[in-house]
Amino acid sequence: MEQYLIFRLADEYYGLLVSFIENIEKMMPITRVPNTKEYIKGVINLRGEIVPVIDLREKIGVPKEEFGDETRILIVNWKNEFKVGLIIDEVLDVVYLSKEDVDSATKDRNEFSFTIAKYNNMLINIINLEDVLFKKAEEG
Amino acid sequence: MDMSQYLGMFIEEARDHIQSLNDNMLKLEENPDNLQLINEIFRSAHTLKGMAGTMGFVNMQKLTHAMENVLAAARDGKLKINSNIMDVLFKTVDALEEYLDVIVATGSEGTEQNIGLVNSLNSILGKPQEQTGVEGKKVSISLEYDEFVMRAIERAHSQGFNVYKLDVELDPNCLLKSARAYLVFKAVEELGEIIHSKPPVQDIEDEKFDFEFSITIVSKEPLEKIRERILSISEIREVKGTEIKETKDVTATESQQEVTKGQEAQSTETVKVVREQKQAVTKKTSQTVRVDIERLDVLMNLVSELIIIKSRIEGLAKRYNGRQFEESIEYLERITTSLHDAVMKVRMVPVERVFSRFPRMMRDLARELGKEFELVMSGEDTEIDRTIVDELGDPLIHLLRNAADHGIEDPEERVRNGKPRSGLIKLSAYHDGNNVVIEVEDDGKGIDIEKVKKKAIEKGLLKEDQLDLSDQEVIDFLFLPSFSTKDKVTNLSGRGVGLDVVKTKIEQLGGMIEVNTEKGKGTRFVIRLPLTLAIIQALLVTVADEIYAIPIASIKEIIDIAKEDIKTVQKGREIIMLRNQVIPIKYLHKIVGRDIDLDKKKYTVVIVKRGEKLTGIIVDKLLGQQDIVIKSLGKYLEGIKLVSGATILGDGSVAMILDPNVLAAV
Repeated sequence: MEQYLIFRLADEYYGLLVSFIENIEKMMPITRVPNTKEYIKGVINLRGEIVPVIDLREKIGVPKEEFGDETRILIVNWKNEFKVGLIIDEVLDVVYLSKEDVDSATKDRNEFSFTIAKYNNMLINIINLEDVLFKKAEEG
Repeated sequence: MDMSQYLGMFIEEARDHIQSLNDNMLKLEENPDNLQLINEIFRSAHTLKGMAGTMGFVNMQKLTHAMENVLAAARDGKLKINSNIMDVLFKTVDALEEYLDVIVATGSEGTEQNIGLVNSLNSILGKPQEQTGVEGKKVSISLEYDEFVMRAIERAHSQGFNVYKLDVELDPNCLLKSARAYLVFKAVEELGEIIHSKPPVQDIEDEKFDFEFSITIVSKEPLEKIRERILSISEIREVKGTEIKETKDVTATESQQEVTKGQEAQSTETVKVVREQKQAVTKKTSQTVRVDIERLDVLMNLVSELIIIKSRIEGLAKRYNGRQFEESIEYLERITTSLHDAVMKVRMVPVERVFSRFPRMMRDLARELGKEFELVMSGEDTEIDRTIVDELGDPLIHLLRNAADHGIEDPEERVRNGKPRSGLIKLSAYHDGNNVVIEVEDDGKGIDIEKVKKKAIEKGLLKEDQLDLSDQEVIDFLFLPSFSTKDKVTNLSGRGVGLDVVKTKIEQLGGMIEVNTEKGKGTRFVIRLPLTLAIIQALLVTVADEIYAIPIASIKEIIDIAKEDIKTVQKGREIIMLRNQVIPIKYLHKIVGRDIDLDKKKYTVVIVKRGEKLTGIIVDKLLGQQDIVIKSLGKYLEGIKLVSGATILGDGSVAMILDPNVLAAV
């Protein structure tokens, strides 16, 4: 059994291992960093620490939309090497998923593949954080 | 026991000891009879041996042990230090440093045993060689015992007693080694009299030994009986006994010069391996700082004060009272400033950290080049930010090598030119305002301007009709990649590292480098570095709605120009003329990828310099100058050109710091 944070991007559900997540922040001013990829929205001042922020929709190819009231930044910690913020549309729940819940089937989108999990009639795309952070995808 | 938690401490301390070995050995080379120095070197070696043993680095322990033996003999006056011995000792220290490098990189000492070196050290003492095994060979007793013990041995012999030397080895799993040793002593004393022990009894009681010790006893009993008696004690692994029959001096001089060829080949091989490993993982353990406890106390006090005044302000905010509130804010401001100073000081270390390894390096270099020169250092206690100090080593090594190799002439040539036979290389550091200046100066032949010009033409960097350059402009060619005026490639210059690398490094550190040279008199490289990398003065500018910071140190001046003063030259490059100097122009909004409507009559131009090269950057608006704290963008955004970091402004928003070197690069 592992704990996942379930969140929404557009009309789809996604899950990310809770152990990666350090914080969930409300939207805050983001300073653009010149000469970076489009999906890197810039950096935020996280209580004195500079943290880059990625628009997860853009990175994995979900259609762009305006940020809303429920928009959050998930602060993830990659192996204590760096922190990155992921912009998502809405945080829904934190749930336990067992191995049986997580289907071996995968879904591909834009170079990224997601494992599918079923939970309360929801289909959840489990995110592989390494892919999201390091895999180069076609933007747009 | 898990020793890894002590690894950092071991590395720091071992490094200190190796440094002091190097320093003291250099001094000893000048005064081979200075007993105090020998003592100090012995102590360092001894401590190092103990430390290595505790950490389980057996190869390192063995090597230091052999070294310690040589030093002990020298200390006790049984061995006279000569240059051959010094060479072996220096090689030993190098090997120890290599062990340490491997330990830093991998956490273990590796498999190199340095048997060749151990043998050379042993052979200085006339000790048997490692491969041949220790048992049953002639023991050079004259070096093991002092006169007092020697007399006791003679007396014992004359009275018909036997003298045995017993090497006792404890089981490596043995706990409470001193208790075990005590039992051995007690058992032996029933059968004879102990006249000598190594290490001394006091050290054995304090457990200041590894798993071996040796005792010399006088007894009527046969050797085998004593051996068996000791072996009957539990956790004794082995006892080797030798009967000492005569006390005739065995001279140790014969084998002193044996530094075999094979061994030399071996040690260079190690160097290679270590280098490779080094490159892979140097960062892992190099970021520790040992801090003077007083400085930390100051820091602690200031922080607590800050917390108190913060709660006070919180209280005041509830029932707002104008004057008191303002006073508190002022107080807060003062404390924050002091705190800032204190924290900065914690990060400051003396440049001695880097300087201290140079005397040794220059000694080796002089031998290698067959030149004569002296290295004089000053201002070693000048303090600079730790992060800068760590990066300073390589550029300085290069400049010093440069001075020795290219600057200083051969002794004969110097004499011919009426100079003292031995050259002088000066390395000095001093504070100058908010900068630290480091100079490398030699009294050699100076840079040959004509030769540099010729080379520049050869390389196509300069046309024949452009010869009216100033000397300074010619010298700047030296800083271009792969520009070397040395005709023959030596061991030193063929490294593919040139002054361009030095310059790049210094600029990365936010500093600059300049050269003064006079033909026949010498050359001086002046490096100017900021005191700290963490906090700098910056000019804040805006483009559209974005704020950027440009480090003040790289700004030459700020001017306003009229639109029509911007001229277009060849290939559409825009330039302005400033006091008869052509300065290329760039637009910041284009550089950072923003569209703005720049339909103004007057432009604000920030002139940034990179070395001597100037570039004008057109900005939207100036916001003013302020101290900023540099923050890294983190590993995920590593490698972005143009931006060297970010800073948090007073209102909590973030501004990018522009890298002036990239701004100025055309």
